[in-house]
Amino acid sequence: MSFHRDQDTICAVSTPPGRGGISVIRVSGKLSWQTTRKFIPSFPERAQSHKAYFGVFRENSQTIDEVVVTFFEKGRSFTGEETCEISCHGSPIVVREILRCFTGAGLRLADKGEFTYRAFMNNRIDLVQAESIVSMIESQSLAAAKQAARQLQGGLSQIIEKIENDLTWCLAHIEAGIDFVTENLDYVSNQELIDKLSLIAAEVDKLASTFKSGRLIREGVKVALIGAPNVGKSSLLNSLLGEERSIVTDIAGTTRDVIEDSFSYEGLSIKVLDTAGVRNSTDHVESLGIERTLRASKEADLCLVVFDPTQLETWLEPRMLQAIKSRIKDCMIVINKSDRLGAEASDLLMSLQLSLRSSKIFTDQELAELFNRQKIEFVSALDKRTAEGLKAAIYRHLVEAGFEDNSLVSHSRQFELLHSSRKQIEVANELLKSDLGAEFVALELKESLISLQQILGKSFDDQIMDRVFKEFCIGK
Amino acid sequence: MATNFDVIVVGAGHAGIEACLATARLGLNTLIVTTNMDRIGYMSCNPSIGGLAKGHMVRELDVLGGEMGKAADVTCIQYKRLNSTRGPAVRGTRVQTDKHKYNQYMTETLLNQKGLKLIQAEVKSLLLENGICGGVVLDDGSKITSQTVVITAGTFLNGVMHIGFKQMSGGRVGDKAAVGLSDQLKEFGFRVQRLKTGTPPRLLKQSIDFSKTEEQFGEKSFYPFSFLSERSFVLPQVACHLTRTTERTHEIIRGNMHKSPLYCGIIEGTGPRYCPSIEDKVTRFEDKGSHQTFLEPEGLDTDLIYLQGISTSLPEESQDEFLKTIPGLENVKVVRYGYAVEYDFIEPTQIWHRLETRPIENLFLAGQINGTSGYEEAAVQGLVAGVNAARKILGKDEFVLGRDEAYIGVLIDDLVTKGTREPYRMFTSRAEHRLILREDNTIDRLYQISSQLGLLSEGAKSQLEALKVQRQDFAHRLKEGRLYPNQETQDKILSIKSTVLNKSISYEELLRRPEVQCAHLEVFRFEVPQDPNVSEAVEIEVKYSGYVKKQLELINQAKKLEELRLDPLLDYALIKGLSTEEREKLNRVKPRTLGQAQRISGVNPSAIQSIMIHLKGNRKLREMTREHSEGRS
Repeated sequence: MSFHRDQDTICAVSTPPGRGGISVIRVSGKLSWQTTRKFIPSFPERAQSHKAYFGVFRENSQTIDEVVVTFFEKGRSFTGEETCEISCHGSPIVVREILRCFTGAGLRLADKGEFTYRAFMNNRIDLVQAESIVSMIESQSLAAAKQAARQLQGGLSQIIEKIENDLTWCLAHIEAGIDFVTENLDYVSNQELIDKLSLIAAEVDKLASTFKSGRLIREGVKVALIGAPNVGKSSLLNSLLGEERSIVTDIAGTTRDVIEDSFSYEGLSIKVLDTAGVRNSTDHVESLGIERTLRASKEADLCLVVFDPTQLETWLEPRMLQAIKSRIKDCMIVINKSDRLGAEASDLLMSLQLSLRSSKIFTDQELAELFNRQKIEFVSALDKRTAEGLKAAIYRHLVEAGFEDNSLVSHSRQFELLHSSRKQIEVANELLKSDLGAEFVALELKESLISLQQILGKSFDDQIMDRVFKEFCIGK
Repeated sequence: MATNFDVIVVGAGHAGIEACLATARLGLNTLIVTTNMDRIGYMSCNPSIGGLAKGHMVRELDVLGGEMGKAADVTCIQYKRLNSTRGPAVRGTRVQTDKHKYNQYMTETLLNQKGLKLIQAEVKSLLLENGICGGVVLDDGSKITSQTVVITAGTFLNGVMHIGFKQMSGGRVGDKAAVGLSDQLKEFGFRVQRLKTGTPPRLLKQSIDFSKTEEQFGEKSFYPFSFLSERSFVLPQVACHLTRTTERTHEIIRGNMHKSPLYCGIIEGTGPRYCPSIEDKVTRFEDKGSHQTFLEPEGLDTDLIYLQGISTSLPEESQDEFLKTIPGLENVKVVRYGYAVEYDFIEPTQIWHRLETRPIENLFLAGQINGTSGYEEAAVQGLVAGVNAARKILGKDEFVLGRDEAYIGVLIDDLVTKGTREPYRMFTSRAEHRLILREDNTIDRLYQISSQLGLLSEGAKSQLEALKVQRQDFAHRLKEGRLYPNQETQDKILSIKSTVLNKSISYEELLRRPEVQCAHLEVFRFEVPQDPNVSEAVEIEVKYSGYVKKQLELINQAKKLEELRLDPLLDYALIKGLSTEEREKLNRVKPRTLGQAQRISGVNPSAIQSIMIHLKGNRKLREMTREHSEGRS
């Protein structure tokens, strides 16, 4: 943690939110070039001002994007500080990944107006321009509070508060052991603290892994194509991949095993699973395939439930319907062969919905969820444009919630804070094991607590002593 | 008696003593006024000095030229180094003292101090003119003028003592309260609030059956507070005795709760959470069957025993009743019953870091009047207030210690920045730079500052300088001396339970190994200084150098904000981008630096940016007007 925020090297996207051809990430501060170079080792140690450098931005050995970096030396940039402007491909995921790398390397995400603020402090802009920053700063705290409140809905704040509470408990025990050593208190042993902290670390990990966007980006996503036999699942797979990956015939039950392959869209790695169509089958091999289909539908991040409007009478098998029911939020209806659509789309959906209702497996609410208009795609595997439209729909469905540019920043901020909180807990635990001294452990844990509290928008203020007095009977 | 002095110090408790000694030693003609000549440096509560964080402050005070450490060293009757086996930053020295000898030592020190006059009287009011303090009015109506005044009134401002439903005016048993002074301050616009504290019963030694208690001795190897004290005890060392309350004790206390002024709403002041009354303890920690208590002798030649941990304000008969249920106290005779005291304090965000008040110039406050608790907290403020009261007269700049330099700095910065809701006691956890603020390195932190303050005698200075040289020499030898992996060395390394060398290393590197301590180096015929003032400090610097370095880096970062001074007259209402709450708080505290502004609770980082823009903008405007006017002329 830095005491003086103006000393930090900061970074942020400086192109407007939304998808464009190119996004520009600005990095300003003493460590700009040095940090950028960490991810683009081909860059020289010293850069020339106002010169653009081409390189591959890599984390460890993994390529994130090809970028062009323009370097501005101290005194000759917008902010007046050493600055790098990184032009990368205009995908939110690429931007997010680069920012994640930077914050992991110790940079801080810039606050709104912070570049302008620095420009003013370094005599790069005049007073009138500076006035506008003040109002920006003013609105920023309000906006930040609103945003925090929005993001902390849905129990996240409760989980963090619980972790905060547990950490405070540990710190209270450590501090009581230091400052009230003569009081004969029942504080916990080192081993108990180590165990407790390991549990807390696991909780933080669990929380960090729930950040969907983070996980999706790191691990890629799985999309399963499911549906009755011969509705065109394999054709859709081939269309998405742009190659003949699955064998396509008119014979129902051609696909017997799960076939998977990946493509990349907007920097997101998407793995598609083509499954065997589910029907009552006596064929032993086909039955095995069906088992696998059901498993795949459970593992996938998104299930595309494919229907053929020309043969709506091919009802889904009850086991399949149960599988859909259990994943109702992660299912998306895809009407294939829409070029051969006879009736009006709405009539078609109505009759589809009626027939699913007659299965008596779904509640009305579940059906409403499934038939949410926003989530239904009409495609034709034969149409070249289908692939792009479907990819966009998949991307929208998986990523969009909480992933537009605005929340991108605060999301990675939360992740960043969780991450540093986690690191400090780990260090504290190592120190406990080596028995170095309680004050060192306390130092790390306090930092960890401060990071967590920043997620909650709280500031650190003597809560530990409050807790000590609550937990222990102290007094001479 | 003369009616004009340079400085008047009101009160001769732990704060008043350090204040008047500081001003007199800086060559200013000083008057100290006490209501009771027999109670100079009197320990109104527990007969001990030091402890965690408090011991740190006593050592800091010692390097700055204060008296408390020396007095505690020569009157010590039991010595302990707390946390001595734990981390280096949290080792704290505590001594039990002979409180009468302490009181005698301080009385003699004051009487022998050149330039200091001591009188017994009560100060009724301050001489004020145009918001400037110019002396005091005594109870006989006489006026004494001075250039600065330091008030260290302790718990005496409108002090009220409670035992059961009985109430007496006074700040301590046997001493009357100071009435009038706080009303005058209130009239002047000071925010005055009320705090509460308490003290346990004093018991007659002969009435205690010590065989039912557990005897506890102190440590033999003495590491005194003061660099100038001998490393051997002056007085014989005695034991304290440990006993515990019982379920029966708690029943009686619960049965009598309706007679406790604390629980009947009679006492309004806020008491310290770290020093609860026994009534509080049995109520708040209901499931705890027993609370420990120490029987501490108040001195060698006294029959009084202080019952640590059992502060109470129950009526006398209830105290008698519950005390007799504690093992060893079955036939106890109470010499003085426990009581609670309520008193006025000045909300400390109304004073500057130099401890001068904002509303009234030349008036300085120190000790419990600022909302603190404890002898040590009082003493360090006394020294700071005294030094500043003197420097103001001498035309020198203010003396303020940073949070990264001393617990004293943390204490005062907390008080003037955040105020306090309960009597403020120092804890090590209050210091964000705890690893740097250790007992062993007070010389490194404060000697340079101190040598310029002028409170240390020439003799003391040369002793401290000699100590610094010894430390440097030892550190140098550790760095330069080397061990080579020959058979003899490897055997010796195994004998101290460390691992063999695979290449040559310096003694410093060896000492950095967790399992190796200074004393081990003697195996290699490496000479280790016997004085812990030398060896311990160097060992810690070597062993924890990584952490120390990291902390120093953080301090350097923080310094940048601390160095940005703010004008005390700056009106925060004029700064754009601040919330109403921020404006109000900043205007109330009037932070000295941007760093302090950031520590005010409720002031956000964005506010700091707004202030910086304002400062910068003003500077630019000034430059522009200057250029403009110059261009015209």
